[in-house]
Amino acid sequence: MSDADSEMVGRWSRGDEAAFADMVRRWEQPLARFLGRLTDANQVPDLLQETFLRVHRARLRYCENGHFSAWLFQIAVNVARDSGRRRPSPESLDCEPVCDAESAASLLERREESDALLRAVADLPMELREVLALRHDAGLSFEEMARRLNVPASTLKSRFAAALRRLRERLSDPGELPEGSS
Amino acid sequence: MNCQDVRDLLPLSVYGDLAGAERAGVEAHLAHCDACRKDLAALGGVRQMLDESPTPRAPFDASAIHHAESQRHRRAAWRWRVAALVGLAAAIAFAAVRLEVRFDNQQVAIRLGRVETVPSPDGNLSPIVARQDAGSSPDVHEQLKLLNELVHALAANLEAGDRGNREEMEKLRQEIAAIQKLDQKRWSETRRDVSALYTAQFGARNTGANP
Repeated sequence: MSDADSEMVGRWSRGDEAAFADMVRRWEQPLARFLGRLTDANQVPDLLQETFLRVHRARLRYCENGHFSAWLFQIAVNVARDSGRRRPSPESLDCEPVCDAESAASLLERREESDALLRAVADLPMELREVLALRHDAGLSFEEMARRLNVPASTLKSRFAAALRRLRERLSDPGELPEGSS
Repeated sequence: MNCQDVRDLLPLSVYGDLAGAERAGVEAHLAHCDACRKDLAALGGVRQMLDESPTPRAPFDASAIHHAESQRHRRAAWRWRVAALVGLAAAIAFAAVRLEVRFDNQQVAIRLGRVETVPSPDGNLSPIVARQDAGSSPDVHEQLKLLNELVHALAANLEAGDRGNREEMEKLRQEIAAIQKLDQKRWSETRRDVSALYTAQFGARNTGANP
């Protein structure tokens, strides 16, 4: 956990509501990204709200042990599971605008790549999607995941390898990506 | 290590999750296997695509959390208040009617009203006589008055607590509104800067496509 996180969590656990607002600003984007991997993009705002609500209520139960982000993402996993394990929507995401000077063709190509990736992730089973998101988006180690999910690290590594392998196969399919992409 | 062994480990290698003998084995194999190097590069490409994939837009309303929490606390406070008043009412009712519940000799005895024993003509105590007009007794009036004062004191205390909570929630709402206003201002400034940069880079003729 970074010093900033540690200081913020310390203030928050002492009941400082401003620290909670800081935490929301610090984590809302990573959590939105994470939840977008696990569920339908249209659900992300509601699930984000629910995640922070549970975090707020769990303040008194939180034990400072240097694993704040792991604790936070575990709550997000539970929220996603409770939402009914919906697949991410294969439709394009409503995303932050890209503010650079890319050409329209390049933007279109990137959008198609992004949609292909979204479809490929959506077709992964939930247990593979979870471990992919926890490793790639949350940045958790397999040992930390094993502690949080009560699943052996070796099993999680196998799932992660299978997830990445399936994405690689799916995205190397010529029908999946726009012409000129690899 | 052969190609199959290595390919099972390459996804972990892309994320730097190999150590010791496994890592050394994979590196040694990659040094002379072109196919596995290509596979590693493709998996690295997947990682890059995941990195570059867009974040879903999730407008977040922190004030909704405070609202939900204040509602929850209000409901909990209401439940406690009702429970306290029901308890008090029961105590008042028990005191007023002099209800007595006794467990004696494997029997449950419920007695209502004031109990007195009076000597019988033969000098022994007569059976228990129950009076139903207990409410008219002066000491009962005194107790009812005390309980009444207690209920009012409790209600005033709860009211004061509620007022404090409301003031605190209002303060929090104001803080959140200030934060949202600041965010909006920063976002407007960013848009203006981006627009100015775009115009400086591409000139006024492309203003129509200005992001």
